[in-house]
Amino acid sequence: MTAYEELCAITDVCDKFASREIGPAALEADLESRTAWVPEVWTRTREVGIPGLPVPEEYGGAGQPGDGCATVIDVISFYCPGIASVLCNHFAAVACMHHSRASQKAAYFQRLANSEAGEPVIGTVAFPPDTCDLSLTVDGDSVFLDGTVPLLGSALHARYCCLFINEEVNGRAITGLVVDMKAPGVAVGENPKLPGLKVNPFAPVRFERVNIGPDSLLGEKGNAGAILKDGRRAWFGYLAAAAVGAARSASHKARDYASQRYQFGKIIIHHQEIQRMLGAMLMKIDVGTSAYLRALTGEKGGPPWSVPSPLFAKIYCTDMAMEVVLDAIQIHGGYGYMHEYGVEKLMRDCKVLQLMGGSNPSLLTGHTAANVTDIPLK
Amino acid sequence: MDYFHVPFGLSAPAPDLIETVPALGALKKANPSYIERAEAAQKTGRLFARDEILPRMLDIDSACARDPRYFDWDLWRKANQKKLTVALIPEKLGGLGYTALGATILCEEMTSACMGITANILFNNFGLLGSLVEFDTGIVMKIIRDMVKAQKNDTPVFWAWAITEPGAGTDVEEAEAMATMRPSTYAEKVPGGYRINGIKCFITNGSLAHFIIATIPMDRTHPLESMATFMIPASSKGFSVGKVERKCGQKASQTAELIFEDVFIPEENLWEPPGRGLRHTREILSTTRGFVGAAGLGIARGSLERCVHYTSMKKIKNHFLIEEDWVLFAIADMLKDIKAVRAACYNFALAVDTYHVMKLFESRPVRTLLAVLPQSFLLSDFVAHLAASRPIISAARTIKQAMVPDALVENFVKEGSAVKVAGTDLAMNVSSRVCDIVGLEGMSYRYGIEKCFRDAKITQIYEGSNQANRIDLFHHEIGSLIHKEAAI
Ligand SMILES: Cc1cc2nc3c(=O)[nH]c(=O)nc-3n(C[C@H](O)[C@H](O)[C@H](O)COP(=O)(O)OP(=O)(O)OC[C@H]3O[C@@H](n4cnc5c(N)ncnc54)[C@H](O)[C@@H]3O)c2cc1C
Repeated sequence: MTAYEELCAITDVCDKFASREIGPAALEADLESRTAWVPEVWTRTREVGIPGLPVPEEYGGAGQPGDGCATVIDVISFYCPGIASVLCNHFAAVACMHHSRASQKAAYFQRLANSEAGEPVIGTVAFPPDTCDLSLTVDGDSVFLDGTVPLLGSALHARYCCLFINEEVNGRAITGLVVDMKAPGVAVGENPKLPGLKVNPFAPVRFERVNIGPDSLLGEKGNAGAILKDGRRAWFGYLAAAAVGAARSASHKARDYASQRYQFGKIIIHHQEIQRMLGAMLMKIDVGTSAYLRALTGEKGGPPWSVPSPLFAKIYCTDMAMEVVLDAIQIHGGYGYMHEYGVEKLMRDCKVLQLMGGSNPSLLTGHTAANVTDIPLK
Repeated sequence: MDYFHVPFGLSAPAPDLIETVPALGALKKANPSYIERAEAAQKTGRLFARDEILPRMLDIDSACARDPRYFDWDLWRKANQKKLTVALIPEKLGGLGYTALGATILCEEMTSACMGITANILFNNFGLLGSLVEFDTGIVMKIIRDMVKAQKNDTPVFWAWAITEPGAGTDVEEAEAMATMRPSTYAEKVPGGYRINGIKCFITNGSLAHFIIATIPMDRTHPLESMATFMIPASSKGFSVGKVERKCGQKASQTAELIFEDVFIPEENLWEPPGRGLRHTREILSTTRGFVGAAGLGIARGSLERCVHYTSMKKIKNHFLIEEDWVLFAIADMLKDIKAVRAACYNFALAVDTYHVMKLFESRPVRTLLAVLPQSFLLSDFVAHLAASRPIISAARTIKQAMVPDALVENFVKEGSAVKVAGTDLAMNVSSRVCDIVGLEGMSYRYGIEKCFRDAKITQIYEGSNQANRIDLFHHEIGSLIHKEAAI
């Protein structure tokens, strides 16, 4: 089997799984903000090996590269962006762990792969600036973690969190950690009730004198910049894929609805303005798909001046998903505003996806600011 | 709300209409009473929004999320005691005497706090607006008397306007579309009146209504030619409320399905005869689209104000989020759009007061009569009988028809459509952009920022989808100029 054929086989299995196990229950789970659904689904995803997709084969995973994992997120998000968003964080945690020492890999990968029965193990990630408030203190042989992450995805149900502390203002000294969320001193706060991705148990997390064992450090202390960069690249790519899945779902619903609704003398898909909207949806989804795939493979391929960027993929895909969803609601008319049609849920979900990992305008601003030193001054 | 601390917008200490829209200052010199009433509307609206709506809007939103039929009667009574439920009725008759301008401003202030709650309080005026179309003075006086009496007794009289049905939304608002509509609701002539069957859907206040104004065709194969307007008391046998919808936002406002099973309606409840139903709808739309634009403006404004409050208290590192340059530019950009749309909304309202049906209340004879006659006389049975007498009705109708000809209605639909699209697109754009500024934490339910975003979307859909509004705008401004035979 070529890698491509393998990926097709995986997406096919995941699609069947999600259409059966996730799609039918997603709307009700949203209505009830049922975060407890996540571990339930997680336990079932093991049947098809989803949590272990990015984990290397020798640790019980499927060893799928980033683009393959993103494709699966896209597939899952089509049925429920909330579940997909939990996967984004989990896969990003695995991406961070790729750089860890052999002993850590042995300790964590197997569990994150969820290949064995037992408690579902969900990983999550927290990156600066959300972790600016965190600090480490050395006390004899022990190191303690203190501070808060203002809002952490998957917080309530995550077992491990990879987080990065920026210990110096210039951003060079970055320490990476993998923290056991069940460790003494970790307190998960109240769910802020975000409008979308409601099954994802977001919460602020407080760390109070959490004893960090030596096995918790990712890489060397103060030298995890490369790990952070890689983890974040993967995360942005995955978020982009989740947005594409949500946009696909909206565009399918809009097309299906437009194909049967009669108004203004025609089935509305025959109105040019509806055709333009549906066309624009497909175009944006197509460009978005290329953007996340290219960003995650990091393949050069294109012209030499064009560098694949997961950050840009995240911004483009989440923004375009919002546009697609708004048009999809519009095409549904009044029905689009009603919960049971599921498109307004996608609008709420996409809004939160837009803001995960930092809001898009702030990311753009920050990106340019961070790279300004590379631009030669004439 | 604990974070409303910047003296801006709703939390500004003293509202100043002239500062908001300076051109109104010039008008004030020419017509002081007109602008003073608008100033009063702004003040009343702002205080009510800040003191009564803001503190409760989230509790109401979440109560309605649990149960779409939840209604905060206590808040409604507070509004009623301030006469906001009869705002459009002249002061002398027991209302607040707000003009279209006053009502627009009131709407902006209240929707900036919560769109759904505003709908509960203000949309009731549909009853009055509807009756002004036919201008049967007997009916108009009866409605005014009923509304004023109910206001005094602190008991609700709700009106709903039902045109949409499951198979037709755009089709009940546009002539060309109605000609091809496939109606499911219909009326039949029976001795002494009409029998109605069918379903209307998405009706605001439908589940609370005492009276429903509905457009229903007499002949399902010729909807445009046979569309009539009925006034249906909710107490009619065979009438029932179906489901109350679970919506994305505007949850405080109930949206209901109305079911008609062999409902008998007496002859006198036929407000517009077959063939005139669409005309009735168009006249209502010719003013309400402007108000929906103003509601969009209010949502945008409320959203921006929450953004200013949140970003000015949100610390990032050693400064506040609002001190970031990119935030400054985004806020300025939204302010610019809000100001432009506000000018358009007020301009539309001024036109309604000057040229449309509201000019009746502003006309010298009516104002003089209202000024000199005592209230007890104006609201007396004698006046009510007089108003219901044939010669008065026909004289009033003649005046009204001359005052509001078909061409004027269509012109106002066009102008209203422009304002509606501008205001509601603004609501969506601003509320979405504000989310992008405040970020994930700012989306926490308690800040009410995500609620603005959820509320905004519906404004682009109802009162004619923004596509239908664009069709109207183009058709009346450009389409009618194009000669089909002039092919190149
Ligand atoms: C919360 C809420 C409150 C409401 N309150 C009321 C109320 O009080 N009273 C009442 O009567 N109704 C009410 N409505 C109904 C509302 O007015 C309709 O939903 C609206 O008019 C759109 O109609 P529709 O939903 O049937 O969409 P449709 O008319 O079916 O339109 C579907 C899509 O097709 C598009 N479309 C149609 N024709 C064309 C064309 N020629 N070219 C391009 N695009 C086209 C539309 O723009 C829309 O995007 C309410 C709706 C909601 C959601």
